[in-house]
Amino acid sequence: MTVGDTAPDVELLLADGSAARLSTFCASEYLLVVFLRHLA
Amino acid sequence: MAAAREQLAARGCSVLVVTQAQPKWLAHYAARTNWGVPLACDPERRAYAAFGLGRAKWRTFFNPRVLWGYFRAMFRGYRVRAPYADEDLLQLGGDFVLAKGLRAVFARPSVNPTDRPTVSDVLAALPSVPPMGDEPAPDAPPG
Repeated sequence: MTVGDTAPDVELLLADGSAARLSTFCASEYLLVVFLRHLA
Repeated sequence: MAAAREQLAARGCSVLVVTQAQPKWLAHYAARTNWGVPLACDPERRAYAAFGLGRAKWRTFFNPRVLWGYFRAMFRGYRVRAPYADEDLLQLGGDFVLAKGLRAVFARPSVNPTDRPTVSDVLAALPSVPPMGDEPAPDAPPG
């Protein structure tokens, strides 16, 4: 993924186990997506 | 974290944190921390792969630059902890700013375990003033 590319609207899981598409988090003009290495 | 979140919000940018943990571990983590931003998970790492995020090699952890990165992080309060079950210790992270339509205006896949952009790096990719309605900011990234 590089600048100018369109990100895939991937499916993510929430803490309750439900699924949500990436696009559903785009409430603002921009969205910073931070992929952590690991949670701990 | 809160200060960074406010700086980003002032430029019209919200934050989503994605982890590779299982939902039950995400719930456990979310119950004892307050990031103030949405947390989601991708235990099969499909989104990680879709964004081109790779895996580090074990020897990377002995790279002086990486060791120095961990040292600096620990000096700022970071504590190395064992990952939750099923998390891939070698998985690399990354930071992406997406505009409307999921178009990437900033992309920084980590090249090693301690490689992350600063808040200033991210802010530099955003327009200096928040957008007003449908009118783009004068210095918004080209659409």
